[in-house]
Amino acid sequence: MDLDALKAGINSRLEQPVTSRPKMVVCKLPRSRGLLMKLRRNLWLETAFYLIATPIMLFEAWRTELMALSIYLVTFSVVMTMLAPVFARLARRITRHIHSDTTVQEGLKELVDIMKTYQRRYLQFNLIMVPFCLIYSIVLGIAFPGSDVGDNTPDNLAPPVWVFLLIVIIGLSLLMVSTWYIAKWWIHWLYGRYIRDLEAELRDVEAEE
Amino acid sequence: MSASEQAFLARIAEHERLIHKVARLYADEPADREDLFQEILCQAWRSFAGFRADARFSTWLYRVALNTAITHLRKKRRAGEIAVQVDWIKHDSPADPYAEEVELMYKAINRLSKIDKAIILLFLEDCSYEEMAEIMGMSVSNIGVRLNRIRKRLKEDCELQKQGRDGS
Repeated sequence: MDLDALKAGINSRLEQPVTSRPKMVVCKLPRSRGLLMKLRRNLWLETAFYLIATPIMLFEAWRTELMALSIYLVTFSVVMTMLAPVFARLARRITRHIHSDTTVQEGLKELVDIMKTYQRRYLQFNLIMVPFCLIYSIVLGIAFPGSDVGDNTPDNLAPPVWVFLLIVIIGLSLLMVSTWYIAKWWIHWLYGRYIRDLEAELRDVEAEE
Repeated sequence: MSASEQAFLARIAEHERLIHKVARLYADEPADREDLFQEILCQAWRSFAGFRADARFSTWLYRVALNTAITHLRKKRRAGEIAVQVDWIKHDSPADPYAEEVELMYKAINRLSKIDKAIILLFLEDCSYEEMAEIMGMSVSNIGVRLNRIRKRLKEDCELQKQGRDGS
């Protein structure tokens, strides 16, 4: 078969319109359902939450008379102040990528890197925040005990301190390990296959023959 | 409508078939194709501000369309939703002597990897090796070697399909 005729045949097959929708109007473009747009939206929402929550927490820390709560709120404000620029930077990087005009190879490389960074930040955030919240609550609870109202346990029936600490340490260790694995499983379930596919495409486009 | 919107729409109208081609090649189901088509349009509009007037619009649009198609995450369909494959309806007239070969080749192209599909698409558009390299980010020599390998593979695939059909 003549190559030109084959090309023409394939081209005419491929060129058939895939949508019967009327010509779009730019100002009414449908909202993108792309994954990156969703990630960027989430990152900006997180950043906005941190920026709004931090002054409120600081104000509450200044206002409260409970020392434990005050330390807790100030610490979280510091953590949020540190996290906000990290998320904002990643969101800006996604914006730059979305508006960029790159080759297929560069585009894939950048996207793989963005997705891996997002995955890493998500895991770090979970690993720090969840056990940290619990450890901090318990430590502050012990260091600054509140009222004893409702605690009628006689002192001779209360478990020794080392038993209590051992239970807390074992419990927290289990919690940290399980949090790590659950977070890892969850992020992998969400994006693992997609990242694997992207990496395969990147290897394919980078392969020199 | 702003001037840049008008300019964008006018350019897109000229090259719309290019987006249809990419969407048809990279998505199997009609609903996915429409999604991909819209996604490419959105992406093109977002990147349009960065388009340099000295560059060829088709080259730029191919970059955007292929980048979007290759990295597009397919929407998960709900259980029970039926994927209707309507692509294999014969579009050529029965008198067309090449219809069968076109059909075989079309199926073979659909089985290629995403990157190979992109290269063959550009080949079908009569892009030069330099242009292909510019779009894909590969070296010109690599494009040449790869294109030969893809053509060989397509030929073998078509032969196998013919043998399979003759044997059954």
